[in-house]
Amino acid sequence: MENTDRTSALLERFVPQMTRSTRLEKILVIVCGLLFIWGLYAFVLQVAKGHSITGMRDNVVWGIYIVNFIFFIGISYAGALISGILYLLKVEWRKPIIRIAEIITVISTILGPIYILLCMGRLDRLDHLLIYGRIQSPITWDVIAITTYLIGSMIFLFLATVPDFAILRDSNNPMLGKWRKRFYRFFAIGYDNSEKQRRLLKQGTTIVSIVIIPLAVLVHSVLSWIFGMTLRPGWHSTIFAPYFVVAAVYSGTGVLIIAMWAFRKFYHLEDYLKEIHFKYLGIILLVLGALYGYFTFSEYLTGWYGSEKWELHLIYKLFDRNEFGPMFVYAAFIGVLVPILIIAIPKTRTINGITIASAVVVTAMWVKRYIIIIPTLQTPLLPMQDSRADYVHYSITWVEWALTFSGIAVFFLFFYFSSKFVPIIPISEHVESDDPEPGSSLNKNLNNQ
Amino acid sequence: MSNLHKFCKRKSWFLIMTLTFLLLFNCRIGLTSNNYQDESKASPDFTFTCIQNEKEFILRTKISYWTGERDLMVGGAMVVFTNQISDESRILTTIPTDMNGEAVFRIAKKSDKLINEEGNFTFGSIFEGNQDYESAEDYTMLRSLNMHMDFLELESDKKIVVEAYEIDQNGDRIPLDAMDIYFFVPRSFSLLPVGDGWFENGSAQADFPTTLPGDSLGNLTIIAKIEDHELYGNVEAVAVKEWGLARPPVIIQKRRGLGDTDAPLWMVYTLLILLSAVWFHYLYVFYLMIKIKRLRRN
Repeated sequence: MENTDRTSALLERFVPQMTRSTRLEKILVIVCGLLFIWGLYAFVLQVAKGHSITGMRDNVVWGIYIVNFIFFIGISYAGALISGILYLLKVEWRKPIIRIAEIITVISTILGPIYILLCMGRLDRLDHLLIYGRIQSPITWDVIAITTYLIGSMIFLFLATVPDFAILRDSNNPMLGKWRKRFYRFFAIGYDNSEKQRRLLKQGTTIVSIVIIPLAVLVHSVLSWIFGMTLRPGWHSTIFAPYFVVAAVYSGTGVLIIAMWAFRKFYHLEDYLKEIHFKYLGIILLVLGALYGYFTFSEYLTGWYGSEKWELHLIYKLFDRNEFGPMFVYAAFIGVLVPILIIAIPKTRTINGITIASAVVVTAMWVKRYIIIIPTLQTPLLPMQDSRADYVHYSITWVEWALTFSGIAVFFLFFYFSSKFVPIIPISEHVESDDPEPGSSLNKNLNNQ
Repeated sequence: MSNLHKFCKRKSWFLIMTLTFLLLFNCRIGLTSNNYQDESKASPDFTFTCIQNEKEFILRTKISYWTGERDLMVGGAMVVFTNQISDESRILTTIPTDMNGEAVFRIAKKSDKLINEEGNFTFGSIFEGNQDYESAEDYTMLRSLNMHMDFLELESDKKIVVEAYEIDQNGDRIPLDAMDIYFFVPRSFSLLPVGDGWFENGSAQADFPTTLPGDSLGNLTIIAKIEDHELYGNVEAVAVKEWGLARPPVIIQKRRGLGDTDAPLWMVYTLLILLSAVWFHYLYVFYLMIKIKRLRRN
């Protein structure tokens, strides 16, 4: 693949960032590594001593492991829907952000299911899931759907990265060592940007982007059906599938904005990740926030108005300030109204403002998953056999916190190491772009508006 | 005279007023000191009942709290069950209330250590309070009553005959007299009343309906209850009798349901079609990748 002057200029810009690490990056890697080791220690302890060292008991059998699982699968929507839809619609401003979105998808789809394994006791019987799994069970559907989705996301990321691998393979930049060259040669699959290859690659990417969108919707629908197919208060709801999908895209967009802000700040990508990208994604976030708020209102209004005994019992717990009240207020009110207000008011619709709104969204969505799972499990339909406080009320232990923070650390580490192998901004997209200066045409559009 | 009278009248009014004031003030002080309550704690509704059957006493305590809108069952409250003999009180057990605010303790009747010299059993239930609720306690005294059911079938009629008597300290039977008894059959959600009777000289009887559905063998659980007797409290006797209409077991021929080992066929086909569609596209994309690689070689 012939490297033009423009390609060389882009390589000069991105190769140092890929091959060198700043002091801040090294500190971040060490901190994340230590968190990972802490999580590993907690995991060993959990395997050795059993789940009694977690807060999970006979009644509250799912804790923050499942919260984290839903959370990570939720943020995987960033790539699937944002980049998939934007790719199909040929939206020009997607180009600098799709790589970040796709990496988020793959990492979070790998990390999410690991929390299922942490939640399960007797990992030595893991094969039973495949041997004795029943097709009627939503959990089996979930395993199948997530595996298929992960493979699809990896193919999508890979296809979008092939041209960049080819550029890096053919680069004469001395900073790229021999082993890197071998790596890029293998993953470039002989791509040299010929007319026919370009056509085939585009065909493949289009196919996967079409497949991945309904698949992503299905994955989160199936995830919601794990809850919705039961007759438990707060879970048995017909709108749970679309509610989960909207909440997932909402949190996925939030994580995407935060990741963009971080890379822009630390890799100095101000020329590529411009204010307009944040504003466009901010508007998507606003629409999703309104939609999520509508679903939330509809869900709780129906439950409260119906006055079914157990449903009402659960809702009182959610409204009770001594139980889940503060969490409910954060997830249902602050997590919706604050981001909407920040983005709606022109004065606060800045890069930092939108990133703060995204941070509120992401944390609120984590809390939302918590108040979906825990209060329902604390409201059993049959009397509890053991009514000791630690059996009735779930409390998170340090082991669960360690594994949660460890997961977040691994997410950062995956992201960091990914950015060391592929440019975080797709070079090939910018080489092919008619826009001489990245994002300049967008700015013109904005100014015209 | 009239001045003296006026003075006396005025003075007596003054005295009356002063005494009234002092009395009221004193009462007020008395009320506040006697009825001092920690306002941060709620006063729970505390119910203690004791039911006896042929073998055991069932002590049941229920603690709830009326919030103004609904009854809140107080779970996890530690209830101490006690037994009193003469002036001595001893703890039988301590049980936390469950999610429904109930703590239940069963104790065998035959234990001689529970009974006092007069042949009475005295049980107590004490909740010592916690950070949210004030303390509460209740006691009950009762005598042991033996009650058992017999069943008579006269042609198409069915009768339940109940005998109830107390055995005194000399071993003599004292029959129960002039008391109501009620009969029930447990159904899915509550006890169905099926008849009642009146004790005369230790015996009561009632007709039993012949049209009640039973289990697959026609078995029915029959409960006889004496409620709130001044000496014996609540007494129960339970027996199982083949007096119901036998219901043949429902054999579900339908297979491939959600609860079966085999999934419904539509579900299997849907899954296969969806997975095949997705994986066909994945394989096709892999084929495209191989084609891209071959083009380079060529």
